Amino acid sequence: MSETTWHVDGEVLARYAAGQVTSAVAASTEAHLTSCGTCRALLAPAIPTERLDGIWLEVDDRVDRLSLPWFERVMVRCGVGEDTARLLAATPSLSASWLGSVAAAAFLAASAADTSPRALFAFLTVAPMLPVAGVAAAYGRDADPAHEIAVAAPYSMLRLLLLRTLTVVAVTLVLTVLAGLLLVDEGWAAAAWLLPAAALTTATLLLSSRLTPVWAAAWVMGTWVGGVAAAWQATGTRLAAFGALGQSFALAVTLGCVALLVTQRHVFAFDTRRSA
Amino acid sequence: MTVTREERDADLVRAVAEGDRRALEELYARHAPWLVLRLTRRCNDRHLVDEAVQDTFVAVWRGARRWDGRGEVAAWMWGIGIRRLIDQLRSAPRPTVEIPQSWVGVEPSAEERVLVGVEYGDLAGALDRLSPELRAVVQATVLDGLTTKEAGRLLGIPAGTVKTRMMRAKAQMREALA
Amino acid sequence: MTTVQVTEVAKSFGRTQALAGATFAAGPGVTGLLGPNGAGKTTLLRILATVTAPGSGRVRLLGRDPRDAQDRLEIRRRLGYLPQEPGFHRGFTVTEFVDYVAILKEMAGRAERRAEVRRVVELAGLTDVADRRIRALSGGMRRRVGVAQALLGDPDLVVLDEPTAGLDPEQRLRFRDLLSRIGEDRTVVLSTHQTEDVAAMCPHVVVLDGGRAVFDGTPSALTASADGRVWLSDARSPEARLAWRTPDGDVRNIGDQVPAGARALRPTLEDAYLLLVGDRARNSTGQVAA
Repeated sequence: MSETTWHVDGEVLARYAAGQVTSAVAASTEAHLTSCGTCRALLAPAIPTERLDGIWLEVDDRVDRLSLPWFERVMVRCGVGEDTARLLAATPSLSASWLGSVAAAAFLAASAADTSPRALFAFLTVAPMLPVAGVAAAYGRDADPAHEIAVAAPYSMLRLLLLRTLTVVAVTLVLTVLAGLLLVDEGWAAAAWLLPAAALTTATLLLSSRLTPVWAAAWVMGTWVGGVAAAWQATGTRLAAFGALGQSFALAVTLGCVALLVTQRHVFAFDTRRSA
Repeated sequence: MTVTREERDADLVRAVAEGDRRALEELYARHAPWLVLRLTRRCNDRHLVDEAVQDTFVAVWRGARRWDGRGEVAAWMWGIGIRRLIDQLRSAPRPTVEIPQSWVGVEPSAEERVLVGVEYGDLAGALDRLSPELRAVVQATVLDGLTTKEAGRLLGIPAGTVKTRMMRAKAQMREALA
Repeated sequence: MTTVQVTEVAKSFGRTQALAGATFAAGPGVTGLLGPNGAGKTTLLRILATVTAPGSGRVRLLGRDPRDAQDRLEIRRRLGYLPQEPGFHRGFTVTEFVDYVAILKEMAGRAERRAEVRRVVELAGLTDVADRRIRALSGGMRRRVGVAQALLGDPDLVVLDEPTAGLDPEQRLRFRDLLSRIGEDRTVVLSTHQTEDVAAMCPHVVVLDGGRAVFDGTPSALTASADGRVWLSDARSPEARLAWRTPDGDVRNIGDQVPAGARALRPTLEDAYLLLVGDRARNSTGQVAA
């Protein structure tokens, strides 16, 4: 800031601020102001504080919006509310690294499925577990570092869980469906894992009322793998669990879990802690 | 807004380029007042001036990295500010904006004469004797640094008219100074 | 109205009994919860923060019952809580995280929240680092972020679990200053195992031991309970319950009564506390027997 040693007379500045000077004087004043911070500072009281503060509030808000993390900006662009976007931004399993892993897993499994029926079986078994893993990492003390603070807040924890779950599941689903469509030949295979995925996810949610999501996910995944294996053993067909009977069962489980979730919703208000 | 930091304007702009929000706030405290006043002398509409000032500081936030570091920060800001005002005038339905008349009828004080002498010398008197339309064109192109097209947009006249008025103004001022 | 009323509250986790019938009350001002590790401080604070449900007993917070869903919601609307090991999301800046908690506290609309977020960030002395990522801040600064979010919405009850743990002496001093100011017009309940914290900022102290409140009153009353029970000697006295060497080379003894002829000392808060909780506290305060 180059400071001249000569300054505009205070009276003249006041008249300038009031618009009571000739063009020549105004032009001269403005030329001087361009290089003199002291005289600029003297003009500050000439504008009412409310007006200056009002303009600044708008600037602040717009700069806020420009400074949003990329994730929230994308969400808002997709039509998600700003507040919801922030709640989702706090979900570990929606981070780039997590989603990358899911995509990798899905595509790996799907590319293998192309080559043999055994691999198709692997894909169909793995695919429903991906959203479950996403849920486990979306909520609860193991996944969410600020979980306790969140529980003590008025916002409904069940609502937070559902919000995050929905988003994680949606994203995971899209990735897996894409993988299935692109890489697997048999048409129906691309969809045969969807209902089981719904069943596993709702079961995980339900169990999260009593266990931490990580344990809930572990139980559910274990039961699933066990069930698929048992179906294979019982019928001799590898893909037995994915037949019409299996799909109906998955649908029933889904509906049952949703019903139970509704009746158990108050349990989510507390932190599920097993030790002091 | 109170001024609280000590750095030079140039350093504040560099800080803004690094994402320092407080630096932007400090720049606002230092420059918003004179910007409001100077823009108000180009456009009577308070709402348009407020929007232009708002746009200016958002533009400073976004464009701080592109400042070349030369010259006065205030001059850089004026360049942004006046063009944002022109943008506002383009999109707003043209109100009957009167360019504020030059204050006449009072003898310039000794201080004013010194000020004018320091900054512009003899030219200043010649400027005052121009008619308001001619003076406005001189102010826009010479003093505010606008192109003919920009001056036209600011004043709401075609660029061709700006050119002819400039020529007449120059002729008159040459006469006055001769 | 007494903000916090806890009556015969017990809580067990499996076979561990964390609280065995604790009773105390707290009103406006700062109440310090003092006790050795395992005394049940964290469990009690979790109950006060409505994060854990009490096993048995009666709890009334801000005149309401946290067991009732609607009451619990109302309590949470006027509550601020800082857990023992606060975690923060990896990528968030200070402002973004506090804003996140503000959303959880039902403050909708970013523009409306901004002023409140700025206010608490300033209260906690974090204005200069408001746009820095939390993971880039020091431990003391992170703790301040925790305090800032606990102050959102100007709560009537603020629950802080070991807010000064792990801070260096200078940070601790500044924290005490901050917490005293916060306690001026609201109820603050904090836990600590440092008696200096209590002496410096808690006009009301509750000592917790073995899941029970073994003292509930002022620090001076607690100190007075050790009158005539502290003395100095060259070596550890046989009558002493606890004794340790002072920097001067003498041994400070605390016990049931000053033995005849021994040089009695004015008790400190720490003496009284140690007398109350005995050996369990010794390891927490780091004192070593002579």
